[in-house]
Amino acid sequence: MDRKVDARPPALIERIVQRLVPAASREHVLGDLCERYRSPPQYLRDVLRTLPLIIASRLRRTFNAPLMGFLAFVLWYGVFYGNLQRSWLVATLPTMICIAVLALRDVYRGPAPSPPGVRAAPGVPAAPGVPSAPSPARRAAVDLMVAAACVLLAQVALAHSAPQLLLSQWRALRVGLPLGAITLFFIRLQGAGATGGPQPRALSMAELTSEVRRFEAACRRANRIEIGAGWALIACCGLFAWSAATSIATATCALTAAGALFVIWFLRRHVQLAPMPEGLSFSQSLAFYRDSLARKVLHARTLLVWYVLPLAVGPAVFAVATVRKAPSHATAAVKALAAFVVIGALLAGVAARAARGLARRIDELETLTERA
Amino acid sequence: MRPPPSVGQFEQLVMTAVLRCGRNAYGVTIHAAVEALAGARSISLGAVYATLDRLEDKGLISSWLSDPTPERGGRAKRHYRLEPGGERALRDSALTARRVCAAVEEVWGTHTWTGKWTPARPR
Repeated sequence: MDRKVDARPPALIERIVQRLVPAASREHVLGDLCERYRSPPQYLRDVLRTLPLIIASRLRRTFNAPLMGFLAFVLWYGVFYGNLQRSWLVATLPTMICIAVLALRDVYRGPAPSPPGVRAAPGVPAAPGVPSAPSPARRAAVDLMVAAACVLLAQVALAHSAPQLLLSQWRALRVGLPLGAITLFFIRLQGAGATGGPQPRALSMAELTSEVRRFEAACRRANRIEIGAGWALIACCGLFAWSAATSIATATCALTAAGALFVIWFLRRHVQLAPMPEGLSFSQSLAFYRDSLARKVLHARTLLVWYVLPLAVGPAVFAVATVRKAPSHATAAVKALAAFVVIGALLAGVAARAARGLARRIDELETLTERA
Repeated sequence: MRPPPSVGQFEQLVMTAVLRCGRNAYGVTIHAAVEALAGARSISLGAVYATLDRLEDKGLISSWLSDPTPERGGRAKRHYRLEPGGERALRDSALTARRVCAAVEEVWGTHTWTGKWTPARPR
């Protein structure tokens, strides 16, 4: 071979490339590019021909279409008030920017962090160039701040180039933005466990325990968020019911609160997973983990029944009663109901995708072997 | 047993390259083998990575990181190997390719396989 043995790409260029390659592929891709190095122009050509396809491949693995659809809906309708703006495009631009930023953040996301008290698996040292994993809450907060900064920059650019596309309705946005930010934060936190790509087929006991503890921590976090959101919804329903002018509104609030109470009870009674006991053997741990995953799959597949349906009763009654009492408000009521149906369908899509991922992992565990 | 997922032409090339490289199947060697198999076509390294990821998601190949090696700037190699499902899929697609070859030879004759691809007029 005509390649010089000690030839290496210039440090500055390599550092820049290291930043551009997604964390999950960084180690081997940089090594392969380094091995193929002949000269700086050839290296740059290689990088330019490789990088877009690596990012696209990572995007295919990490892009959660139903979840992003749900996020886009929340952003357009609930944060940027697309229905109150001058044109639908006004809210669509910041929504698309947010979705693109969050999708790219997922592409560049590093390995999932271990829960507190769980050591990273021994024998699998952190790869050089791969940053240590921040906590899910910090990740979600950074995601949100980066998305907000990009939207702000886009608004500044629009103020100079196309002021007619600037967000308006600031009175509504003053309420919507903080509430939307909190909602988005928790939605991102819920999706923090997903890594994308297949899992290893041979694990040591410590790695298996680490994976189970990570899964349990993600489940506990998801439950806490759902239960917290449930209590918040009940409090909001109480406030609205107290100040409601009509009996229909009061009944709607009461039904929604009852639905939320049912969901909280179900989460506490059925969805909460018992932690894996200490001192189990590899096969016992595997069986326990498979059972836990199977329970999660069942809950994800029946989400429409125990989660969406109880919460849908209140809005459905409100829509029907409004249409019957005041036909002039029928359009608004049907629109609100349609929005609720869309949210329910997207949530079902998110759950179905999660169930598919968990079912795939159960299949993989069937053939999982213990590594010394 | 579930039938193996179908694989495209480029996926066949990459799987064949993984098979051919054996224990030394990682990004650079697989790319070189794919280029050799593809003939005159220039293949980008990124296309090989993307295909390897897709094949791994289909469960046809598996990968693992080796120990870092000094000649690569101290970076590890990601090694690949065919899984049993991948071997079945590759065998199926190779058999299909053989049947296609036989059918083409039947019409155009065997001489068309040597040298430049210049199909004769159909009989």
